[in-house]
Amino acid sequence: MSLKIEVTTKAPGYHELVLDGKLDTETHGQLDAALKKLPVNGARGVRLNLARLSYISSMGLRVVMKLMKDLKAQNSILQMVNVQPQIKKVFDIAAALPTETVFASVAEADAYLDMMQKKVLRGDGG
Amino acid sequence: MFDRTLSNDVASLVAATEDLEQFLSREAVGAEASYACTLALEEVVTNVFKYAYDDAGVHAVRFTAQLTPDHVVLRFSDDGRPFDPLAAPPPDLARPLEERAIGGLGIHLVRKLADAMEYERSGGRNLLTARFALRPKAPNGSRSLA
Repeated sequence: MSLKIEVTTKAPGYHELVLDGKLDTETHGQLDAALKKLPVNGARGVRLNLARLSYISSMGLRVVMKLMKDLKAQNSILQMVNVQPQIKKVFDIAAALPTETVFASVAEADAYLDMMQKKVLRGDGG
Repeated sequence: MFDRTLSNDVASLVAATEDLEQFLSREAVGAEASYACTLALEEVVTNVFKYAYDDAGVHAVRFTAQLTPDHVVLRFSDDGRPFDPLAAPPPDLARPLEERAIGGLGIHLVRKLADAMEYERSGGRNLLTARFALRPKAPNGSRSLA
């Protein structure tokens, strides 16, 4: 069981985390630490790219669900891209994957972010 | 048959999980059933160490995995206080995510993925059996938030 996390800042306040490996009892603390370091507090948006996440357990779900709560509380965006079927199944059983957070591709998620950023620049909220 | 005794530390769980994955792969168990078994091992053992013991001493959980023509059968046995994980109420998934208590999901996930689970208290031990279909079906009663 191991997890690699690659963090990039796509635009000021918008962060992408690429998770590679397993998010479980052993590794959930790594994601928690990465999110604290960002920090999520004050971020406009966080994207989790799960293309290479092969496994998630309840410990991993807890970290992602806490992230969802924290972002929602500050009206920030959470994007989940490339959610693999076995991961989606676990999220579905936990009823923990709000459909508005799931994007089929990076391109689709980028387009949504662009639109939201333009909204912010125009000053009509978002 | 796969047979391990796990102690209550993460390293023991990590080693057992990796060995179980290799065992299931050697037995040509499909990815979906293998995922469910690995998840069950992690969730059940974590749960036992969290709830079945009142002290912080070293404890052991015996874990076996066995194949039948249609199932992988997992058995867990520990000498902690009587603890039936199947008696715990399921988490309230109908509540919006932000209003839910975080946690209580592990056993719920396993119950939804398993074909059948049984708990028995015998000889001063908690015995939990979980059966996973070799050809898994869609999870029972799962739903996603609209």
